[in-house]
Amino acid sequence: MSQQGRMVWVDLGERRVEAEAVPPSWRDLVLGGNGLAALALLLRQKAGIDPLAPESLLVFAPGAACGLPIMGACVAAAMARSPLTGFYYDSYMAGHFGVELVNAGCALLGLQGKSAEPSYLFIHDGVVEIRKAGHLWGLGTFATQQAIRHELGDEKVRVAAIGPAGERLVRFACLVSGTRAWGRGGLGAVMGAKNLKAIAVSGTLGVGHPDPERVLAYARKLRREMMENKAISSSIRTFGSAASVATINRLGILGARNWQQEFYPGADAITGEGMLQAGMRVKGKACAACLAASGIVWQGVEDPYRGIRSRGPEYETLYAFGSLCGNSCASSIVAADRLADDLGLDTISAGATLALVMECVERGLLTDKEVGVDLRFGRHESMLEALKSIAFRDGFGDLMAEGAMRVAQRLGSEAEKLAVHVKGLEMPGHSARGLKGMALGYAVSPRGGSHQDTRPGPERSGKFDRASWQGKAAMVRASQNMTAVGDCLGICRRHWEPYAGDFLNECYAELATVVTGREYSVGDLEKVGDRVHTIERLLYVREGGDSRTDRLPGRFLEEPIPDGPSAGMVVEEQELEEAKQEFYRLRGWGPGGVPRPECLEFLGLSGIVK
Amino acid sequence: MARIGVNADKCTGCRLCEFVCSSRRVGDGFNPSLAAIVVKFEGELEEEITPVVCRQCEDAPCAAACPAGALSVGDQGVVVLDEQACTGCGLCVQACPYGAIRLPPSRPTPIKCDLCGGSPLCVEFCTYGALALE
Repeated sequence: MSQQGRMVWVDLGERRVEAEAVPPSWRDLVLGGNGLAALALLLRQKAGIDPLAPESLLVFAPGAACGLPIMGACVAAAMARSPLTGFYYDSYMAGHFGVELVNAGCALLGLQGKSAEPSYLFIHDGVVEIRKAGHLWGLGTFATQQAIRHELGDEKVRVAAIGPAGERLVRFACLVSGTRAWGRGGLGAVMGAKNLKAIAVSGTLGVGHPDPERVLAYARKLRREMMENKAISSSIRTFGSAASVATINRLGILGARNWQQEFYPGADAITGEGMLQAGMRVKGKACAACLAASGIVWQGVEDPYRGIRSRGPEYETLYAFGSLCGNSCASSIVAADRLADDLGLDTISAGATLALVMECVERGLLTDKEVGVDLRFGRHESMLEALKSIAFRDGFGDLMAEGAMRVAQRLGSEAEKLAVHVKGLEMPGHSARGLKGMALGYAVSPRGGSHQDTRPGPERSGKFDRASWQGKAAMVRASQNMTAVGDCLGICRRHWEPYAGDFLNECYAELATVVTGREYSVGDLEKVGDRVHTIERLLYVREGGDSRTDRLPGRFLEEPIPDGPSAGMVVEEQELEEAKQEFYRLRGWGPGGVPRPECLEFLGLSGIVK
Repeated sequence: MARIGVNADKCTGCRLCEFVCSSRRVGDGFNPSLAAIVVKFEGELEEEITPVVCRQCEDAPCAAACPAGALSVGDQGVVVLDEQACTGCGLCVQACPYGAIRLPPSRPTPIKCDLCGGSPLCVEFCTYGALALE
């Protein structure tokens, strides 16, 4: 990890930049990435700050492994209070931006205040410039990146930008860098509210390490072992995440038509194999230090989408613009993915919001006239029109820009029964009814409907019985600890889940030891995971979250899956409540889901947290 | 005559070559801006990807341009930079038609590929078959 990396605080209103060393105690407690961002927010931001107010603090923190030639080491955290959920959201982006931040000497970047005029930041080797961006305002994310590189005269500058969606404070607006994104939680709106169009970084300082030869030896071992794993070196390299559509549909747990069904007859047309056979695959791209090259560039083959290319769609987007919207035209999903990236919209929340509107229209809760465009399941042309109207807050798009929860609240109680979200964050493509552990995981995630705290792999693979609640509280805690540590180190799950497994073990301990130059045991890492989740829980609780807000949408509790291989499955409310209590107990929290003082003491947080 | 052969079609832009190459120049870490191999990205989706590295030209324009005689063809046809003789004037950088020799602002002398003395790290670490020792 960067020995010289500092915390850089920028006040955009006062145009002031301060830098300080990362307190050694912070690194010992949380390593970097997720943990560093969460701890910084807990200690440097008060409760009750409006996410879009000037005071709102937006932090970026590369993982501790970024900058080292370790396979999969490239992920950086972006975190703030979310305008979509009202709780805190930590988002993760791969690609090359995080590594550039580290090479620029930045272990954490904290942005506060609001710029008087549209601006962008340029960070070069620790020096921060606030530059005018009036001429960039209104540009899509790709054009913004190119314009800034051209203006700075350096093609190697990395840029993370918002598009029109972030500028207009769409609640699920995202940041895009290259063709990756800090996708969920509306952090693009937090940037837009600061009048900040982009962050450009150029780093030539490099990254220090006490034993570079050890890193290279370790990288040789990882290379050998990961290449032997066909999941990584063959399947993922061919399809990226797109192959999951068919796998998940075969189990009958692929969200379709706003989660009215979980078996989708059109799945084969929108899965990796089908898209490959249709001639849609162009090439694979990699992130920094990446061995998986899962960033597949796909292109449309059906008119009117023929020739449109996107670096994507990922599985989540094939679900969100595909099965969830009753759409089996893969070419339209490529076009929608490209459009969403350029506009700066989270594809999951966008697809889910559209799917809610589609169901409302079909049930007569909304008319075509009100919506302005013919939004029904399967109408992919309307889907693309709607994405533009959301990004530009045009007509009915202005309401859709608020996200599914608020759309439903505006339409009334009948619509609220149809809104599928947890804490305001719309569901990703992993079934709660079909995977009981995920049901618990969604309910207790501080982010809401996120598939990145608890992971679906252990149940989907059959290692755990997905229909049973037995042992799921422990499974959720163990899964969350792995994802937290992975996000503190900044390593990509497409490498590390197939290679190291679903839970913390000797592979992760060796990784942490090599990266930091300090000995880490599995127990040490479990404690880091426990600690980071407790810090995030404290952030959640201080914004009013507790056991009552750890709940699932009505559809999952009241409507069993109607057909397909998982027909009849539903989330049993009583079992969910019991599992929640067991989970809180395992985490050292009280029955309301609030961390106890003894827990904070045990995790070494009493000294720095009130 | 030995050099790093590039098959750009296979390059995915992971830049592991840059990271590991830099370790030969950085004693205590990694710094891709000091690598002798650089991956270029072009296109709106950054999907046109090309690794750029010294081609160890037989009739090297960099050597011809050097007023100090610091660049010469050595063993195995590798174009070698004599750091002691180099004055850091940068004429070699201008002469190279490939942009494969670079003079970063922080460095007194340019950076170019020396094949790591025969076992190039970039070739060893590329997992896509984009680089080979020719």
